Amino acid sequence: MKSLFRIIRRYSLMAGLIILIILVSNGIVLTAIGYYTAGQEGADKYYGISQRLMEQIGEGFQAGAEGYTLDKKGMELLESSEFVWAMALDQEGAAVWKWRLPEEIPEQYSVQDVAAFSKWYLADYPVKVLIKDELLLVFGCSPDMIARHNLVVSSVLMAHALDYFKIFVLVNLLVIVLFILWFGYRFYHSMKPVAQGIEDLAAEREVRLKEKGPAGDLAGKLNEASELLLAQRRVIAKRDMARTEWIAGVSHDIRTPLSMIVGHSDRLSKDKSLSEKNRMLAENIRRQSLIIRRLIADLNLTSKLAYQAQPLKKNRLCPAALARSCVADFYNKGLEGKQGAEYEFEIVMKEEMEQVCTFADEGLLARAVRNLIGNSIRHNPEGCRITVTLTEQEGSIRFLVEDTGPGIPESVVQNMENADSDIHIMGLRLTEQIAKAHGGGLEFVQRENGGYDAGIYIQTNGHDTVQNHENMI
Amino acid sequence: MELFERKIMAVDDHRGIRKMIDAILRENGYTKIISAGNAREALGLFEREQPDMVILDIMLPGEDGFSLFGKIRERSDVPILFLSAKDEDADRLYGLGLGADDYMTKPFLPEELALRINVILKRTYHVPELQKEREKSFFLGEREILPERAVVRYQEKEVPLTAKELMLLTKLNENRGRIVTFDALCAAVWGDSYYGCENTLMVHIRHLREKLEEDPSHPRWILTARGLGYRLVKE
Repeated sequence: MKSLFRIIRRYSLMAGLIILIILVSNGIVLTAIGYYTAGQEGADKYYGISQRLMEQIGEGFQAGAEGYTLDKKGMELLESSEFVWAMALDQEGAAVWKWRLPEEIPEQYSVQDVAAFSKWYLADYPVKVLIKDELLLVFGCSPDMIARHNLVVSSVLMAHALDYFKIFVLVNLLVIVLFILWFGYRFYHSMKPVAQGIEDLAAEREVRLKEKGPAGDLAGKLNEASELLLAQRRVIAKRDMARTEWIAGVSHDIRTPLSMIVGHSDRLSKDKSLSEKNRMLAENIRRQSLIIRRLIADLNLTSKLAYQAQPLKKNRLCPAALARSCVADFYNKGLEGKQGAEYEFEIVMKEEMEQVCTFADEGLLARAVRNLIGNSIRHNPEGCRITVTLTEQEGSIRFLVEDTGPGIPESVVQNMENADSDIHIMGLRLTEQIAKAHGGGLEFVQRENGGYDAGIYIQTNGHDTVQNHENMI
Repeated sequence: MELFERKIMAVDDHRGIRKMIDAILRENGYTKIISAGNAREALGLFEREQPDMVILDIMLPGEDGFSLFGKIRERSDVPILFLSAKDEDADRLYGLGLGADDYMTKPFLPEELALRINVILKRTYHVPELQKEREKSFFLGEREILPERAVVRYQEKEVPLTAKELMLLTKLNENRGRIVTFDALCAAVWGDSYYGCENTLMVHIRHLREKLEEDPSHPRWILTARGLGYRLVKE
């Protein structure tokens, strides 16, 4: 459901950002347009009829004996401008100078006329006026070029214009935000079951959504996908179970004849009526049949661990005690090395390790550690020194088993990593499975000579420290 | 009745296994051994012969071992040991949950079967002997340890052992010749919840050595397995 919240949050943020971008860009565009086109100055500048131009033309007027004249420079400016006609009125309202004055434009004006056209049109021509000394210069523009409107606004409106503008923007924003929230909520509401369905699907749970509403189609597809996955999972589970049961069945069937081999070879190996040589042979059969017994047990366990058919029996245990017990077992059961081979064991750990306890399946974990130690013994029949190092870091406990032999060859490490099944390393695979079942794994540490040592690590998930009891004595 | 005069019945559908159990028990001193290949035969034989103990397979043709267990229990409280190729924890727990005295899986070591039968029979019929055996004195060289009185006797003199020292020594003696880890010794003396008692343990071992060894600094009987625990040397 978190992902849906993220989508909604992003959607709201995006909507907000879009509003902001629109407002800013609108502001920029409006300001630019206003600057270039709106208003007296802007419009004039745009069409080449600025106040400045009129003033420059006005400079060129001279009063002479034959009346008013415009000098050459003024005339050039006027002709190159956008004005279509011009005239100069004296204080009596008479046109004392004219330029391209159309016929329909009168040559005499009253005060009312001047008042009217200076803010409006003169015979449909928009005009611009400029007072130059005692003259009123009137410039006619083309009706196609500019339009003018007289805007009358109350002073109250003008005084509160900014406030009104703010209210206008705020109301707009509020409406937009409300719409965003409303659509967001509806989107969230319709997508919520779909998101839940996807999460359930990812968590391997069954999905059964109502196929109604705007997301009904999606819900339908999710239901189909869930059914398909469930069906596949059932087939896989059935196959896994069949395989586990088959292995369990075969190993069960092997146990009875193997009992006979173990039992009789054991009896023969102790039969004083047999020659020493024959007793040795019987002992050899006994030992090999015990190896078969171990392999069958390993095979059974490995298949159960692989298909999650082996529940862990987790109890509180102290890894240091477990390591000691595993090593002591090897001493006590006798070591299978060559005649005269000597094995020496050492457990290396910090003193704090004695205080560490965790929850794990003691039987399985001991089996994993014993497998590692057993490998060192089996592959060093001449004898060796075996060191079990116990460390705790970052919520995991490590058991590393090193020996003074040549170490685990590269090919075995490669085989483990490439997951080719190989019966010769079933013990290592089992060790790895046990470690994985405890949230850890198997690891190899390379030596300088190229060989490897193997170790396992398990997750401690909240280990506790044991207290020494002071009144033990 | 002597231990080895007890009558034992083995029920297994595999003739070879029945014969082997018969041979193993005879080699270990038992003489009265009877066997059956299925539940019906076993019940008939049980009623006729009234054995003192039953070794029961689970996978039998027709009626299985668990069901046969129930029928035997209706008639008698004789000790029953399950000997099965089923090694699942669930089966083991089910069998023991029914009230079986032990559960062994095939393939088994003959010696282990004989030892377990001995223990079960002693526990059922020979408690005073078993008690006696537990309290039986033992020797470390010329020193005799008398557990029932918690003393060490040497040259007519008796040195008392404290309760903890006796517990430690008993645990070591039960596993004589084998290394017993610090943890197992601590659990035996102070219970399962005690960890990291190594230093306290060392104090007790030192006291024990003072009472048992000629030269406590060079012990002959209670040896230290460095980093692991202690071992009581066999004669």
